[in-house]
Amino acid sequence: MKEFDAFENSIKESIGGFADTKPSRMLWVKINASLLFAFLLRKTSLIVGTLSLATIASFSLIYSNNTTSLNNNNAIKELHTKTINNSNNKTISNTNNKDLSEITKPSENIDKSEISNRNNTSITTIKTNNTKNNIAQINHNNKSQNSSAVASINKPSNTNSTSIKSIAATTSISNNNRNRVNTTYAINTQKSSPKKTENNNLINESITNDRQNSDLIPSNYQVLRMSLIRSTNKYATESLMQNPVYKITANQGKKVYSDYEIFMGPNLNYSIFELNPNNISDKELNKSSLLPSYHFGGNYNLYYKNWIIRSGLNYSTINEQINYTTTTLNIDSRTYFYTITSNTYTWDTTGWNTNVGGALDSIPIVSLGVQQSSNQNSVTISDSTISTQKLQYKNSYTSINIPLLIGRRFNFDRFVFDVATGISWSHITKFETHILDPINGEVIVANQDNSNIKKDVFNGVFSIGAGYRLNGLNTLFIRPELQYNFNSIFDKSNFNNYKALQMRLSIGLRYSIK
Amino acid sequence: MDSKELAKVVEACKKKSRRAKAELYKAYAPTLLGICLRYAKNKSEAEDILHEGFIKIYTKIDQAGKGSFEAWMKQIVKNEALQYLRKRASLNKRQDQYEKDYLGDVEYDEELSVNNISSKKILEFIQSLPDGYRLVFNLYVFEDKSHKEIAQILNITESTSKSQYFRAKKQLQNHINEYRKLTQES
Repeated sequence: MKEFDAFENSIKESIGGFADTKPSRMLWVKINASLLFAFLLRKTSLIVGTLSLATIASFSLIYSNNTTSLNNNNAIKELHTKTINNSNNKTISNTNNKDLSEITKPSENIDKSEISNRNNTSITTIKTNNTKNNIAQINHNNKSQNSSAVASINKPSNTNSTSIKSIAATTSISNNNRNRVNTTYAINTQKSSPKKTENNNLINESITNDRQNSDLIPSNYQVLRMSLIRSTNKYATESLMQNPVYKITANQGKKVYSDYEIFMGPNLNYSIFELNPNNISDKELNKSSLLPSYHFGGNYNLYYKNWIIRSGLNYSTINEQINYTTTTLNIDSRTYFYTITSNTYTWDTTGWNTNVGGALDSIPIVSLGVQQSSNQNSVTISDSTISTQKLQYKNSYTSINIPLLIGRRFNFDRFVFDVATGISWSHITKFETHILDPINGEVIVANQDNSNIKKDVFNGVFSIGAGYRLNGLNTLFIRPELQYNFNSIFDKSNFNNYKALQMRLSIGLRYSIK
Repeated sequence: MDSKELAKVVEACKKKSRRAKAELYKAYAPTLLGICLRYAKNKSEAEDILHEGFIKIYTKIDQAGKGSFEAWMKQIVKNEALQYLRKRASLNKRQDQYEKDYLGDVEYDEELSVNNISSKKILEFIQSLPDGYRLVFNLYVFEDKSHKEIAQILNITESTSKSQYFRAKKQLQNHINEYRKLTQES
């Protein structure tokens, strides 16, 4: 136990119970602000982190997808222009050839090694060590006249059996500006070999295309020949299969291609307008009402690589309900009249009376007179009241639209996404609308006979689309679209601006042209 | 606030109730500010420490032990004060040296009493001490720490703690004597 001296004890006693100082009011505000900031920071970090991960994952997916996807034309092209670094965890499915219902599945450990300059021959070997489907894709770009691709599968050493479902190999060889693209796929090797290691070597033997072009993308793919050589021991090999296994139709290697699409769906319209302040300054328009409408049409998409030019024709309706409120100021006034009457009194001394006794010697003799006058005045008192009148009316238009958009397409296996923007021209074919009379603020019908409406309107368009490939030719898609009028629909004598913002949701089918 | 009420408020605070947080603040901010004032140079610094302390209390409330919640809060505030002063430790070295020279001739009076001086004034004298002196003085007198414990907390030697404490007392007495002279003259 500590012993304090008298000085220490007196200090302790004096300060020990000191707690009469209140914190400033701002301190609580600061604490709350810090807590809120910390909370927001945590949430923001979480969101940013998630978004970053999602972005990285998306980019990884885009990148790797470009290198391995075999189920669409563009992906095939990209296969031959990019090098696979890692083909793990990719789903590759083939929909064009019944012989290859599913080519490959993730090879979990693909080890790529390259042996070059052996007798002036480049040999790339890809080895995998798993029991799943495998794909090997090799791109050479060298001056060697002879290149070959070998994809081999080794049975895992720690298992008693192997079930190798499929193996596929493709090579793309470029030398001296001549391209040779060899694609070989083998499937269903399905071997069960309990105790010994078995090597199934797939050797590509044919050259499918030679052409004078620096581009590695082939104009077509043809039937391939291939051999599957099974090495049962060090010295003996055995040919198991020699069949054409894959064929890609001649058009599928094109850079420029196109498709048609038909679509339909609902619209929501939201009119954005500014009143003409000179005419109807005391009027108010409520633009909260949304009414459904619809559209349908067709487009033609022209693709260059993954760029899109889109045009077409569609029919669209616009329905909207507008609530109109007019207010009037009424002034009620009353005039009150009043009269002011005034009396003027006069006092005249006419003489002096000297016959008085006492201390006084005389008193004055006076004559009194009264004169009356009157004056009439008025006062006006005003009182104001505001009366409100509510009106409701509907506008409906129909229009034919011709869009011209450019965009970009993104492929994710069977999924296709696109973003497009551009302009569209709308010709209004039919309208039953109401406008405000600028003079007296009444709602009047506007139709073909009484037309303050413009029949041709230009719009800005932005759309994003998501599609799913049903097969090699058909794609089902959904596409939200925004369309906004560049110019006012009505003449500016009634409105400063009257522009429609249309939100469309299209569901459609896209048909690829062979 | 009695212990039952406090337990309810703490539970509500754990459920992120803003009202409970406000209640807790209202009930304990003056007491905790009193502690901060002993460690800080002035009220503004004390409020800075209390601000950090309350942020920690609210964010770490789930980690509060089963013991006295008030003691837990006080400990957090004291730790915050220590951290705050540690950050400035290097700045005070020069000042400590000055105080050492300045206090060379002052004698310490064990029997000096402060009964006729207000608590507020005494607090001001404590606040005017250099950080190191004030810290050791607080830990020794108000937190009942031994010089060995103080040495461990502040990562100094025991003898440094003793000398700092002694100098703190001398400087306090110096302030008190000067204050008394001034009040007597006036």
